[in-house]
Amino acid sequence: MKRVDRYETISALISKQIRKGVKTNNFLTENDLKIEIENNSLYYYEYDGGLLILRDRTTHYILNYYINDITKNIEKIFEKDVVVEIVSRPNNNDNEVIKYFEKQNFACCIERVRYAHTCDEIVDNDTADAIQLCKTNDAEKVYEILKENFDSYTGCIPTKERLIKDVENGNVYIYKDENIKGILHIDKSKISSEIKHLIVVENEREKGIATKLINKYFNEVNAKKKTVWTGKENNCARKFYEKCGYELDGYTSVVLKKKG
Amino acid sequence: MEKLIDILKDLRPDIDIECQSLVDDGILDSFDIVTLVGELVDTFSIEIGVEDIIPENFNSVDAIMALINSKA
Repeated sequence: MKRVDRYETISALISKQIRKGVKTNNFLTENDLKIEIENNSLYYYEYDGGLLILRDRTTHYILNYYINDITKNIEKIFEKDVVVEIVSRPNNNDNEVIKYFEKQNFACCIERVRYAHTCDEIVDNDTADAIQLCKTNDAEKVYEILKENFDSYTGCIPTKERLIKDVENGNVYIYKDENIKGILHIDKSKISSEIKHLIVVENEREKGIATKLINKYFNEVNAKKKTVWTGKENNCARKFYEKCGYELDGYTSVVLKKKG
Repeated sequence: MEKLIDILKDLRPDIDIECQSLVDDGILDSFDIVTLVGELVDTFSIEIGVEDIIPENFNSVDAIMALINSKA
């Protein structure tokens, strides 16, 4: 396994893998890869079945793969746990890849479902003055709250550097009076937008803060399609999003983990 | 151009080849683009990098053709 120190290195390796029939979960952009390289957290492992791209998260690696031959096993033993997420399209469960990783001693740790919100008309203006775009001096606290409330392996917690960039790009809203009570972390482009994290701190729940945060989002983000992933078994979150007008769109995912 | 249209129709039989916003309108998603790129690499004997996989390059038949030509 080698650390990537130049974007050109990983770009060339990926180009070599992109061919008809390749199986991949790599939707990382050039910018995503460059941020990882800047932070010295991007590694790769090339084997005769494909290419593994690993993002170092201290306790574990997040794996993105290009697999061109599922008959070849991953012989590498990693010194840390490895987590991989396999997304399937509607009515097209990618069982072949899931079985491949299970054969490599990965085990399922969570299943997720995706919700989409396609309604253009947002009628609910019930938001709050306490909601504001996060500023960089609050980024550290936001990072701590995300770490406390989401699973370190499966909670898609950004690196601190990535979070700061998201704050700078206006992708983090907070509900703050004397303290930060709620966070809405999003990703947005002109086409689509995704809720990455929505959290209300423990003692402030059931006061309508999450609804106010999501209303702010609906009012301010003008993407045609808004999506959110949530745990298949997370009934509380699922009910909340359904109440807010989200509907299942058929995309599902499985997160698998291998012990290091 | 015909080869490209055949590939697109195989991928999405209901595709409107005149459409100028295939990605913006959600007709092609990330999964389609990954599959499409694999087909393009194979069919046109070109190399496509991560930096080329951006919505602007896949929004229309003309845009995809321009990408292919820039790599040929």
